[in-house]
Amino acid sequence: MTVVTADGGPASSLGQGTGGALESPGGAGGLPEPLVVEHVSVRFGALRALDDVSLRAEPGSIHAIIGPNGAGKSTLFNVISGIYRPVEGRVLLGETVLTGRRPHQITAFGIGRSFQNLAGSPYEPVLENIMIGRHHLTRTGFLAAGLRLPAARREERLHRARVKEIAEFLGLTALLPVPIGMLAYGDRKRVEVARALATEPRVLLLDEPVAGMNAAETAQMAATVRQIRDGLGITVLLVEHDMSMVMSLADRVTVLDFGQRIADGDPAAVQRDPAVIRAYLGPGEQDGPGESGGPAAAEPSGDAASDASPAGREVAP
Amino acid sequence: MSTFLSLLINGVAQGAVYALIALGFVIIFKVSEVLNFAHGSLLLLGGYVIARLVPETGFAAAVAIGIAGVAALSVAMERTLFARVTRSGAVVGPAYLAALTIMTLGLDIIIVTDISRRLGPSVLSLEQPWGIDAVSLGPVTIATNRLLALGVGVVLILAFFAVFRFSDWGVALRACAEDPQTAALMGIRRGRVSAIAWLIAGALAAVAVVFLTGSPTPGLEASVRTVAFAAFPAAIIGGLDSTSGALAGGLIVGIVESLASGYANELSFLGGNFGAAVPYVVMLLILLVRPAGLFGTRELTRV
Amino acid sequence: MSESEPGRPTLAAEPPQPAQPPAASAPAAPSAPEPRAGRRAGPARGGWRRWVKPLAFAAGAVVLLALPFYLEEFWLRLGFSVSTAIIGAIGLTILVGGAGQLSLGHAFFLAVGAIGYTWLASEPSTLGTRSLSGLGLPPLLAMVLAVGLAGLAGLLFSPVAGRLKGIYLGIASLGLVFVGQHVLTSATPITGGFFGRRTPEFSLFGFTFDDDDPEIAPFGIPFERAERLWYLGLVLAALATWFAYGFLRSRPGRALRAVRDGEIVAAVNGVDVTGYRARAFLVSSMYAGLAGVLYALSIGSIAPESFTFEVSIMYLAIILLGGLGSVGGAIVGALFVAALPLVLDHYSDGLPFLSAPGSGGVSYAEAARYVYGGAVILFVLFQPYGVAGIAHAVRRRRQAAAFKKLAAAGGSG
Repeated sequence: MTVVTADGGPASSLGQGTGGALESPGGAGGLPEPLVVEHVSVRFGALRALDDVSLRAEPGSIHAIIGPNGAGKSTLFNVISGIYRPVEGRVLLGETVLTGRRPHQITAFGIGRSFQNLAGSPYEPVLENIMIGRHHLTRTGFLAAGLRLPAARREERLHRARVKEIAEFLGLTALLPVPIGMLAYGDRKRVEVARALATEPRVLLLDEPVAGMNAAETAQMAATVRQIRDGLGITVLLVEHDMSMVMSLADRVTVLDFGQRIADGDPAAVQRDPAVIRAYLGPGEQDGPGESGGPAAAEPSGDAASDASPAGREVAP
Repeated sequence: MSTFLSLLINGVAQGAVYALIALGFVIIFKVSEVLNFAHGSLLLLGGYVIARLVPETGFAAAVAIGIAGVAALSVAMERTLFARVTRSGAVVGPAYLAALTIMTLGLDIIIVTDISRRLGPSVLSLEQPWGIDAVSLGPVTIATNRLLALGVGVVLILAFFAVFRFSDWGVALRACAEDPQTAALMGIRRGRVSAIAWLIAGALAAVAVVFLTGSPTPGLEASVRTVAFAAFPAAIIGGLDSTSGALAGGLIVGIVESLASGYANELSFLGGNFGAAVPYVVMLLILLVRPAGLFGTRELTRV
Repeated sequence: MSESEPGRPTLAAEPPQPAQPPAASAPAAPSAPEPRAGRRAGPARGGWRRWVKPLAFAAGAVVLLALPFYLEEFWLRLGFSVSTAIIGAIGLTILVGGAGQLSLGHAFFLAVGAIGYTWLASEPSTLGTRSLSGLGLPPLLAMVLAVGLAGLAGLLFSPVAGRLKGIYLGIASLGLVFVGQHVLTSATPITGGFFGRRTPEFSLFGFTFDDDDPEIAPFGIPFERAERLWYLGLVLAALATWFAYGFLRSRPGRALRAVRDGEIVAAVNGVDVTGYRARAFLVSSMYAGLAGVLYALSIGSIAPESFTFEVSIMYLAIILLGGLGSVGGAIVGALFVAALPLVLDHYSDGLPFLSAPGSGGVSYAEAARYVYGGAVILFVLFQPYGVAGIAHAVRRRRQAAAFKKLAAAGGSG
């Protein structure tokens, strides 16, 4: 029973060797369907948080969404998961229109999401916090649970077993009984991902999964994300400030700035895109650090400090 | 028609008093997100102090001491109880706000038990100099008490809005309410802002009791706290975080209450004493349509 | 779990197939609720320790069942009042602590239960000039239906209860108390109006919970009304507790806590936030309805006037003292707050600071209110998580120690 070996082991342990053993949960998913965002606009008063943004996340791909702070990445996630309603445009999963449905219904269609901030109930153990992801897959109501009907007990047991598998997948097995308030930051982030995975999504929205993690944890999370795509066949939408992670993981990258899509393409193309470089470095600086800089160098980390500045787009040295 | 006019004016006057009480809820809520359920008992306490002092000191001095006393007690409560909890940060999350709000209920229990015990079944008079005088305005006759309530209410509300809008405290309070973290970064001392909010709320409650216990009511009895409760629906109708909402809510409650009581015979199919229940009925109806009240801001949660 | 363990479990298709048939799942006895998996991070509880809890529980049950043979009537009546308060308090703590919703309307649902039972179980009658209606149903059926009525009242309120949160719901439910009192007082034929009406005795298949129908005296101890009601209260409170633990430790409880701890996160986890708020309100009002039935039985008569805002406050005080959201805490809090005034009354002759009600001094009821009002303030200041918080802190300290040990072992291994 170890904490560190299970989690802190080399990232490769998750990336290789286990790949073949993991099966797709596609039984629930049916046909692989793309997640399509069509001309979405969101306004907060006079502020245009998103302006005619479109993207298409191919099934089984990792699709990154990047951009400076305040570009609208989280807003886009909030639109996809139904928390914000766009004034224009819509979101589809295959043929199914998600826009206009309530968040819990969208979850039931197979959109899972991990949050950027630490979510969950701090006094509840890891197991309980992941179990909440099973909510829409389970039926037990007050009466059945209160009377401890056999069906309710069986359901609880089956889903606990499944949650333990998911926890194992993320190297959280040893931490299952620990209240998440007692966990280290990186562990708590992994609980978030496990919780999102527990909803058995077809599309997984990961909101800055490695923000605040150290290098080893980041590498491990990158391997996990890759595993989620390759082993489980889940489409991953990734918002992340760690550019080296984004560029090595993503199959496709969409860049937002001031609520608008300024680039969309494969990582290498996006990295070379002048508009992207301008967005990260600010106007008039594009001749400065040059291409060697690029987004990867320009965005040191997604730390919260830069949120405080209204522009939030300082130039990295 | 003259009945209607008379009821309307009475309602507006009573509504101004409710607005004074509701403003107290609102400013405390704005700065601390605590709903002060002890507000009604503070008002009762103020009335009791004034009624006991009047024979000794005369009306004006008694009222002044009553207002100062309740305001001081209100601040003392904030300093000793609420600031302490808020500062220690021992409790966090929604349970924390519930706990703080329940603490005001604890205060309410103690104050009300004590004042009710002292009052017993007796009715004390605050000996308002205007007594049971009434004024005739054309076809309408209205108690002087109500007219004065209206006048004083309007003046105090205007003064309050001026302070709220232009004073440093008002700006600071609004800043704290909008964005506590930024407010703190800009050097706003939330503790002081909060203490002043409690001070003003206490003072307004003590002013309100003078008119709540005047003509045509018999005087101060323990049930005046329940009357003051009508300011809850007033605050909610307007929106708990909106000062102009408190004014609007107070007027709405005062007017519907007055009309429902005045037309009790016509409304007898709704049961006797419908007037006391009607503010709550209006509140529930408005909440169904607008869950944050008429002027309240709907919460925009960040994730 | 070491890495070398062969065959990492497969993330199987949904839903996972049962590893074993669910044969071994005997329903948990109420005496030993299944310990919540993962509640304890401590070392595996081996040997005698696992028996401590069931044994303590069994001993407690035996004592409670035997008490009517030893206690005088006063204490048995007190016990029944406490059982009533326990049921009502569990209902409120589910709502306030479990779902994070403040309710000041508990008194209203108690009223619906109490009046509903009285009306459903009474035969039509006339009292003076007033004619009172009644359905004359068997008391057990009346009790069940009264709980249903309280639930229905909660359901009717759910468009408000689902959409409002926190303090807004608190005041909206305060409106329920005032509007409800008005409506109930006006409905004289059902409620008896201002003067109220008598509550019919409870009976179960011909066995009446009164003094002598039929007369029984096990071991020579006559079992009269107080003894019989003691058992009724005990059984119902135990069932209410067992039921609450059942759903709080399972899917519905998790969903409620998720809503409490962050409604957006809960919604994205697939929880219908509005629906769960409304359901919490429904369940809470049904608990209050049952408490109302018992209250009517303990007093012997009811009047809408009794169900004031103060009753709601008393229940809030109970759950705050116990610890918001904790069923065990609700029990402890109910024991304290419901018993205090009665005990003070019982001993008021011997307590120098108490005087008769109305004499100007401090009466027992007032003394009790000072004490629990003060206790509420002190608890928020010094023990905001109530009695349950104390227990929790002990458990967490154990957990933290165990966790450290675990981490240390992991680091070295």
